[in-house]
Amino acid sequence: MAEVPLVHGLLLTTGLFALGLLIVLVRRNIAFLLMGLVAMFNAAGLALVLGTARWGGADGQVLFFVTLIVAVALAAVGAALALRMLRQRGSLDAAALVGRRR
Amino acid sequence: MTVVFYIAAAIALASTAAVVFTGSPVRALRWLALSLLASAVLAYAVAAPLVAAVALALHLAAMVLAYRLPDGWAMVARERRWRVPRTWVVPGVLVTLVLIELIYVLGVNVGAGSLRATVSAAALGTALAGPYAVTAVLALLLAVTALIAGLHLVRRVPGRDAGDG
Repeated sequence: MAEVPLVHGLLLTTGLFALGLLIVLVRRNIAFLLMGLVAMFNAAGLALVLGTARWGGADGQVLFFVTLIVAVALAAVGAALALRMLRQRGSLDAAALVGRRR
Repeated sequence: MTVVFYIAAAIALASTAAVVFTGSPVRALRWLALSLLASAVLAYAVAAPLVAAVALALHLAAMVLAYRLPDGWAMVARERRWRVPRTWVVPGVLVTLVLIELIYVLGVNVGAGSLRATVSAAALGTALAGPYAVTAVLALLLAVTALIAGLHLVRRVPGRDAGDG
């Protein structure tokens, strides 16, 4: 079976990361910001896994493990903060936090 | 394996792109879940079995939790149309595709094909418990701390939160 070139994998991770960044830049809903951050974490971890698969060694996968856990921590605290904001302000608009209206 | 890689890659990209253009957070979360699952399958196809399995389990648990948050998503959503079958068709088909891929990848010898080196679960465990022990412990401590912080943040304060939620 033909091998997948590493470049294709890296292009994929770059694309995923860019899409995550796009989510963070475009959307104002805090839930979407969290999702974008998680997508970016995921893309970075995927790049680590691809590197491991190319060059061997468990180091990259350990880093992916750490990335995964940091992403989970981020999602937990972020979701909790979003929920708290929703309860106190009744909206998830990130722009409302800095005082901009619509 | 190559085919699995490209299909999973396409699904991951498409579903992440769908998050950008989706209106409702609930639907977007569904797309994001699909993207994460596809990339876990992709990691599995590229010879990272243990890590991919951990990622799958963690993401599934996180998604279930996110949908079970007491009042969060119900309030965020404020839409009932997402139960309409039409909005389930595309994600449903893609999820089925990912599932088929996952079963296929689980059946085939892991890491045969695609990129070269396979890291066994034993090697990863040795690395996590040996040279990277401090890193692993710190990461897990971080996760526990974040969960505790999250629980404190979502806890209702009687005086301040009365009447809402």
